[in-house]
Amino acid sequence: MSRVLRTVLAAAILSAAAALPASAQEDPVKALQKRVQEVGRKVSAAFVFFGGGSGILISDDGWVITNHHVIAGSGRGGLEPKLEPVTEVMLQDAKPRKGEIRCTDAVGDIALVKLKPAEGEKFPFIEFADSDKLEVGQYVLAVGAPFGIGAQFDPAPDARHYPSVSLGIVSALHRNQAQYGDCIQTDAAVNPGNSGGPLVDLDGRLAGINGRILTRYGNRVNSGIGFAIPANQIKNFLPRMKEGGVNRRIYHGTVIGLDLSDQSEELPSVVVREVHRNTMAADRGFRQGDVILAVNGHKVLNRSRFAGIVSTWPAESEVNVTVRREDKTLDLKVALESYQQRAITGEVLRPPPRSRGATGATFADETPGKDGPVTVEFVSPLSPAEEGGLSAGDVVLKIDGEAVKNRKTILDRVQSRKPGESVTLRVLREGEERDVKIKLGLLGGNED
Amino acid sequence: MRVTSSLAALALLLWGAAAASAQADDAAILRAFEGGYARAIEKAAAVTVSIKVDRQPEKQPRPASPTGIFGGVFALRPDAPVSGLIVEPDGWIATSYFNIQGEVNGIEVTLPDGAIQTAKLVGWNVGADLALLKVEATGLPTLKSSDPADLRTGDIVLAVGRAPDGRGVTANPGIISAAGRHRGRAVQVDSRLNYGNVGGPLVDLEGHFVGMTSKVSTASADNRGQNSGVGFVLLSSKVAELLPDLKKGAQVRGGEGRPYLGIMGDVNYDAGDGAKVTSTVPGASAERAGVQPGDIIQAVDGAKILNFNDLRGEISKRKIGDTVKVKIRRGADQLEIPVPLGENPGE
Repeated sequence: MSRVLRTVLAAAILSAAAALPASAQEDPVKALQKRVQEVGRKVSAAFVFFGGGSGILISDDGWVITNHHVIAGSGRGGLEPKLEPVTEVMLQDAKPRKGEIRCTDAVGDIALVKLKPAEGEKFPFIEFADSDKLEVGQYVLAVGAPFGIGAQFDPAPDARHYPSVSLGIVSALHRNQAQYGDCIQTDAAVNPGNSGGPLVDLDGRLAGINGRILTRYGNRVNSGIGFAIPANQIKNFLPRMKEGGVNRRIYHGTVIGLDLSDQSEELPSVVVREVHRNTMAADRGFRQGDVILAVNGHKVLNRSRFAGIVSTWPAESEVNVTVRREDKTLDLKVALESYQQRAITGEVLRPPPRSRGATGATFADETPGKDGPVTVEFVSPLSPAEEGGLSAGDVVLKIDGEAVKNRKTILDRVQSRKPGESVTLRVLREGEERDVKIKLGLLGGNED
Repeated sequence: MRVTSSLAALALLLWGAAAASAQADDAAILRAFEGGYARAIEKAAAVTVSIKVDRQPEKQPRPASPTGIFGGVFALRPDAPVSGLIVEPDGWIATSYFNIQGEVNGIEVTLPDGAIQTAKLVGWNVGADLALLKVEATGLPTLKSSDPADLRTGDIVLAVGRAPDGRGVTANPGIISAAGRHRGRAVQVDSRLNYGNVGGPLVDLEGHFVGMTSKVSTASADNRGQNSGVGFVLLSSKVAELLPDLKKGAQVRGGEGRPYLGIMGDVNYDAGDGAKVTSTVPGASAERAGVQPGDIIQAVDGAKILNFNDLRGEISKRKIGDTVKVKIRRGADQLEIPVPLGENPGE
């Protein structure tokens, strides 16, 4: 090798090395640690303690987001959760502050609260990340008040109250989990009390709002599977929520009148099996056989994903649905109808043929695939199941008098009924048996 | 033409070298990353011991749910060795009190060099969840302690324990989730703490002793032995502070001198209408006064209670012997029961 070439090579290698951040060259673990400390400090300053949950400031004039279920409760006992005008919150100084509940999204599980700054006061806050740019494997931090730790008692030695910070990664993206239509899955420790708190990237920007966890055996602690509502979905809803929505509530969009099938020849996509007459889908020009490729540029992989993407916009938004019809690709402009008003409450305006009833709850076998106790895993807010008074954790003994052998006993019975008809569940809760009567609704998504 | 092709070859060579070097750098970063953990683990391993506790069979814990299908086996402490750490060279071993709790027939410690020794249980402090053991040894290694004032939320830490066979170590990385908990006595971490590694050291990236990982309760209906990503670590400074008394044989129970209702509550009950009683301690004041499992405690002396934390706070403001008026919702009934506060037995 010539001397010149050797020199040039050496220079090339040197310059590649120089392109690395200095801290990473010193010690990459320390670089990570430093970043986690900085982000933890910044996000903790903008953190908001709610009674049994968490929230985060997103502007210096006091806009705060949290989960709907943090401020509205779960509406136990068959009552629709009452929406109070104000809620009490605190920041690190533990001074009680009034938060005005401006608008809530029961299905998306997001609530918008306004704090009033004192004269000249600027709140610390965090910016939104572009959650569509997140990658599986990327580091994220969850900041919250798990089990209420840090909230009321036990201030730190500096007399301030700090939330808990946990580190994990993005485990999966675009999950459609019950009413979380497009959520981020993370293994950062998230527990009861983290609800409403932020999931942030290593730039300290809001990736999502933590709201649900999957648990086993009714043991409500982190299992390594937590779900966050993505920042971009929240961005779609924020302008209308700031205006107060409709009576402080906001509803999700849906396309009514499409019967979709995953059995598309052109995978991945979904195919329109049928378009119901006199529906919005028919009005907007959907036709039988259309292959749905994308919604606002987001690829549609299956029916669940279609429902998930659509649910990330509020009702009355206009979305662009890209379909292939024969050998042409068309864009259909679709103004979304309200998912909440028409479907989830059971008030079905135009039930499509072959419609089947649904409760809005999910059920789990204690031993999947085998007969045994069946428990209620999750109850969607405002769903027929919640209105009937069903609670997560209930053990279902009978349905309409028939002994429940497994999850399928319940699903078969529920799906044999039409929306508007009722089922009665005999459940065991806290050692007592009681009957829960549910007037069935018609649900999209993947609820049972 | 010849010049062009040599230039092209040179360019290709340079590009290849740069790509190869970028790959090499990625690998170097990863090695450094893993090395950062490995160095800290190696230091911690030198002081981490395995402890075999021969104890009378424990009572089956009360099922966590009335159906019994959720409690049972998940709540049981596995019958396997646990972890501890050397705190002074002449045979002083610290571990979690939880690890030596119960009717103990004998304790055996496997030192990091493999030597097996019978250990004497010298003292304990239940509130701090700390127990001190003594083995006959000299010149054992110890760790340099980190300065608690330097700990920051976000610090990368490793919880180290002994594997069940006592030979290898188990290491669980995490971060400090909150630097000041339990009145500054502990830090909160998201490292996986489970039966077995609890009682071992938590170290920082320098391999310095941050503190001793703390108990996984079998008593709580809410935790059934599963790690939640919320764990507590007794600070090294507190271990050092308690050590002289423990060496002299101190046996300090936990909440002694603190007022006590004698109930277990559901910390996850978040309906916001009160604190839910999951069980009552047999013979304690709440049970004698007629409080029952399933009751929702909604107020204490007129102060509204929204959840279990509120109740704990309200009771902690009172003195032993005070009688509190407890407002209870039981099914559809509203009751008010006077309960004289007893003394917390500390466990």
